[in-house]
Amino acid sequence: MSVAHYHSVEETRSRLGAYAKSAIAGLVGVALGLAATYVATFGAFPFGAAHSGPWTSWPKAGAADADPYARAIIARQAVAPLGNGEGLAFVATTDDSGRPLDGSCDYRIAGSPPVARLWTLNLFTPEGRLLAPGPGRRAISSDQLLRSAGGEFEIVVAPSARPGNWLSTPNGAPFAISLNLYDTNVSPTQTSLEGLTLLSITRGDCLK
Amino acid sequence: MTRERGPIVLPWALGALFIAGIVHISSVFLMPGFAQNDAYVRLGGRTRGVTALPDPSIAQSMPFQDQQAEYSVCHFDLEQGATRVRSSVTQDALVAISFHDRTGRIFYSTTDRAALRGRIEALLLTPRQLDSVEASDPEDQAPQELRLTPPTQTGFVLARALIEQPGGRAAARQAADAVLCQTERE
Repeated sequence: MSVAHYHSVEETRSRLGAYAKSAIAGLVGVALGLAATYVATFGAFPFGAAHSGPWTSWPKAGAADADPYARAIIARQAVAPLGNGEGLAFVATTDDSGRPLDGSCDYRIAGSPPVARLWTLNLFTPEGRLLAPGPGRRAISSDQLLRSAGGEFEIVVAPSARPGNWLSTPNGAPFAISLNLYDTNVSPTQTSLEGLTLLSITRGDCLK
Repeated sequence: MTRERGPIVLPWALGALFIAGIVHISSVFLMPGFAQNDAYVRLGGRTRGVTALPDPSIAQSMPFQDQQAEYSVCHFDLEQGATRVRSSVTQDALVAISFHDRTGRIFYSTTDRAALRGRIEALLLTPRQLDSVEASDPEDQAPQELRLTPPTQTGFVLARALIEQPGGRAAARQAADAVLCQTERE
């Protein structure tokens, strides 16, 4: 008798233990799953990036067949991406040699972007927010550029004023550059942009 | 007992990971439906006429918003009727329009150059409205507008007018304001 009684208590205890463990495993699972979603939809689009030098584009984000993560990010972050029929948007957060863009440095942007009816360069924080107000302009378009007789141009991104095409950076703060091509011949369905040369971003002097 | 403890944790951990995977995937799929402060809400807009977004070099309405453009937005609600969207012909600004469903996903986008005769003219309809419009089409004539059936009954239309010389920002603002959004009564 006493042996059987001992067994049933043990059984009940182990069953209760199993319920508790299931509940804990379930709660941990739900928490982990939600945390993963929170993290995955916090920053940039996780899939479908196309790279060209320091520039990255997410062509699918502007298409009807955007992946579920892109759709979640579009909804959560209230993004209105550039549509594939409008053009193609790129972002750079580093220079050509991979160093993060730093507001205390001078950068030279040059080259020839792919054929587009119009293209624009904008400076933002790395998260895509407006930079704190400062002297000088933070955006320029292709038809506002001062060009040489041969059509070449150079844009200087620097914290202090420069002659010519100057975009002003927030001194000391990290930043990002966006490049939007409107009415472009670059096919947004390309997942690889190899062979495509966009503008180069070359770092010059830095303030200490 | 203590000998068994180590290996016994593993199935529970795997179970937790399995649940985490299911919760993660379903919450990603459900997010567009549950997001409270999405572009449809944040950009504002209404179903009658277009609403101008503030100057993007001063106040931002969305991440990475082009400061070299002026924006207008309108909502559509196909329950109230088909919605006609039309840009005006302009020489001074590049006009691009994207059509978004309720969750912000783009279902169509174009520029004035890609459109017929330099202007965008689109009619947003439900499949039923499309049938009735097609029934009254003249036989020998192609439709004069682009006909789109959005994936959701409500959504928004975002127009961008890019600043071009010599008109500048004022001309772009004018071009963005001139985009027409109009509900057609059945």
